[in-house]
Amino acid sequence: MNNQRGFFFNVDWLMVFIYLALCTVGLFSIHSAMYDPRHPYILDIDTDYGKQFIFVIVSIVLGVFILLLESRFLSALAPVLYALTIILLILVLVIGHRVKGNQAWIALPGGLRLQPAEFAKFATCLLLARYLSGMNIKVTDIKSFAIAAAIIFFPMMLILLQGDAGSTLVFSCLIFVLYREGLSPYFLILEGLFITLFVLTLKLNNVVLIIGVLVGLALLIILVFRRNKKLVFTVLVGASILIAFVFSVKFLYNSVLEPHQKSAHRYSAWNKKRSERKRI
Amino acid sequence: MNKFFERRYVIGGVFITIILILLARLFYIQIIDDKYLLYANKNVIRPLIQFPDRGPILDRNGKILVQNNLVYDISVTPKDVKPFDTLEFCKLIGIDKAELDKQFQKAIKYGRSVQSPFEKQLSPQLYASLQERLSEFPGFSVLPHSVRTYPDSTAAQFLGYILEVDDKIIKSSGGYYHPGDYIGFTGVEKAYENVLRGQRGVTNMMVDSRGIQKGSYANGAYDTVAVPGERLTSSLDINIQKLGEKLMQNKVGSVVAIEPSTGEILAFVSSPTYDPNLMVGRERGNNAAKLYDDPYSPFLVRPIQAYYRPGSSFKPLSALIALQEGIITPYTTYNCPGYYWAGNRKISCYNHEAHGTVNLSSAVALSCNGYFSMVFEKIMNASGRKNIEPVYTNWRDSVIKFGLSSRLGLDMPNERPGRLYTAANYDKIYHPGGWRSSTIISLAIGQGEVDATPLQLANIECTIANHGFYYTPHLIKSIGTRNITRVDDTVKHNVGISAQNFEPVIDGMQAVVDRGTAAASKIPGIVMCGKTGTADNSHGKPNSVFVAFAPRDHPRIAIAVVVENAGQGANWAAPIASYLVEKYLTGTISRPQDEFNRIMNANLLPDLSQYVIKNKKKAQQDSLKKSRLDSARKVGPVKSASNKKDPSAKYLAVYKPKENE
Repeated sequence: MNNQRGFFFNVDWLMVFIYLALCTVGLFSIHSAMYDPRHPYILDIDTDYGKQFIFVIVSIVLGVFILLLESRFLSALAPVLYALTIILLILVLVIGHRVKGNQAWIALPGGLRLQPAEFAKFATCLLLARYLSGMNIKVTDIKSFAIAAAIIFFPMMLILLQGDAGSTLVFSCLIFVLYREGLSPYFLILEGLFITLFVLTLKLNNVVLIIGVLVGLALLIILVFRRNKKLVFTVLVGASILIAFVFSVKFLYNSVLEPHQKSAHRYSAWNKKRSERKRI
Repeated sequence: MNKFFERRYVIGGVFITIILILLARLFYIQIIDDKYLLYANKNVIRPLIQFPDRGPILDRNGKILVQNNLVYDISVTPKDVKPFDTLEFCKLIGIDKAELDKQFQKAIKYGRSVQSPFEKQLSPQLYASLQERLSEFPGFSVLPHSVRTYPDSTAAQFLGYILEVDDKIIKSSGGYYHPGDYIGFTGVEKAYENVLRGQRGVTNMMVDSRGIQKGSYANGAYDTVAVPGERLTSSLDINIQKLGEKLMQNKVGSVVAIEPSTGEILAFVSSPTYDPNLMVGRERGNNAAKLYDDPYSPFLVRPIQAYYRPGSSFKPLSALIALQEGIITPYTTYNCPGYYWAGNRKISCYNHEAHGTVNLSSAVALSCNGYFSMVFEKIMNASGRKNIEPVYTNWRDSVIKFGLSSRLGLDMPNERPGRLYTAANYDKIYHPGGWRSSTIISLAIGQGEVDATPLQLANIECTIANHGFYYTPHLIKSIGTRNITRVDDTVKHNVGISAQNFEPVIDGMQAVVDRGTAAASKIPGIVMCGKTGTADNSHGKPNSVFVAFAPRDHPRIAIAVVVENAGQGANWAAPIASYLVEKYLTGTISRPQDEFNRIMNANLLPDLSQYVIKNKKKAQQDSLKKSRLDSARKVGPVKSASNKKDPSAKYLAVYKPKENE
């Protein structure tokens, strides 16, 4: 839109401020949680907070570089970045390092570790942005929609294979972008209902009740709007999908999520250690 | 700008909704829900428990039976440890290098900057040599800790022992006990756990994220002080207790002495015994394992858990009931030819000795089986030979009033009730109406289907000494400075025999010691009334039994002695009882030392091949719970009786008494 890139008037300063504020809060949180009296200073490289500080500085420098780059450069680079991260995502499945149940890390020399899923997130965003901003691309077209969906789902599936359900779900928020560009609102509504039903099913642990309410609501809508054949049809299809989903929640929870991703009872282990210590 | 421009507001709305939900949740966690506040407090404040000293237990004259001793627990903080002379350190605290490495690794695993236990319960001697060199071993620290100690190594089964609580106890205590606490497991320690344990105190310490103490919380405003356990004065007399243990060494059996006027237990000997100090300290586990494996079961509390047939010591009781029923008078006589015919069963007197014409007193004095068989048949056939059931039930009721066949209610755990068959039991073995007085004639002389604990035997003597009543036996005189007795302990239990009926029986019992079967155990200057018993059992020699009380006027001690498989009551049980009685009444033993030593040094341990029965293995597996198992289960005859499915029960009922004294 604005090709005349000026550093001072085209930057979302509020965003930069929020980013820096979050970094600062995180740094101090780590400092207070991991405090080691032998290394009291926040800049000490031996400690976790010292490392975090270095990472913050490095990322600010990198951020400045990226801001200074010509935007067309990023746009041109998007397919390359996307391809690179896809290769990394496949690589991590082969030589990956298993941490906390996720095979998501590639070990680098010097004790550092690389998590390709993180790069995949913005590589996907870049490519999607480039594709959607192309001429004659409308999400309402079946073809365009399929290509956009493929750009999103390909890395998503690879990440799910790592066992990293969290990073996988992050991609689903790209639905907002597609919606903004003309995707049918049904997708957004359906996703919202999926999330709500998933939480409710686990929380209430009563499938019959939830399905009963769903059926009740569907019948109500059909009764009230029975003239509107199209709406009745939509509600029927939607309700069927939702009921099928409710039945699959338990399976999803048990087989897709790893144990540590479920409600983790950290305190039980902690209490046990405490009671052992008590006698000293 | 495309036609979907307005959709940005929908997206904005979605995000605002999500943020509002998160804010509501945050509000709930921070302001309304205090769960995380509690977690945080637990993180910072660590309650340190101050352990109270367990109360000591004294004998009736204030001598210490058990008190607390300081031992020293070594702890280590791995972070502070500097290289040190490991060999020297091992030598000082008496462990080997492998053990040191193991403990040290364990401590490191626990946390480098946390103080972890390293070696427990060092003796004061070891500590003394370590103390002066402790500065050479930075990172190690020593904490005093009190354990039980028994200065006279006596009354092990009476006092019982304490053990670290296990998970089951912790659960069932509803949060009172914590891992590492000790609890009375047997004996007085268990019975009076609530007063002995004292009250724990709590000091609230602030700790940092690594568990390092940073000082007292709120200047100790929420701390409580530990209250030491109360001092328990038991009724035991340490002098006769020790004498009893000495005399019973290398013998299996039991001695119980009771003060008739109060019901207080004076001696409580279970033999073989063990040194209670073995159950304390670093070697406890090994020592306990050895004791469990001992075929003579030193952990069995024989005075209240072993079943013995009373044998002839039952005769005074038999006579009392007959007198009360009016079946006989003191002048009823019987001409003893050396045996008695009950139906077609011949009951012989001891050594087939013909006692000639005997009356009640002389029959007791000479232990004439014939006389008492005659009396028993008279009672049982009072309403006709075929109508025995109600008569028997009536007779049994009279007997159990003396405390037989039910728990006396001693303030000690795991007392066993003893046994006397009911008419229904006999109906089951034979068929209703299928048994006669001759069938159960063994009961006349304390054989057959009657089993009593030594405590019950001693309690019968209390009742005779008191002319018709007893107090529930108990073993604690006072708690702290309070003279306490349970309500039960001051209630006279009347046995329903008129006082005047006791005199002829007591005459006979005096004659037993003066010139009868136990004449060899007469104590100069003391009138003791007693009764010997030679109780048959199915494995080896008969049990030697003697029951007595003394002096005759204003009795001060009632006693029951059982020496398993030792032979005649007069030979072993009677002298042992007489020494205890003399010591208790006069403070010394005046009779010849040689004879005393002969009794003391005699080894009467039963032959193991007969003593250890087939289910020994099973009994051993039960380990600690074994104390609840009866010795009788191992001692054979009772076992089959307590188990109704056992086919030998029938055989038992017709058990044929051999010669009795």
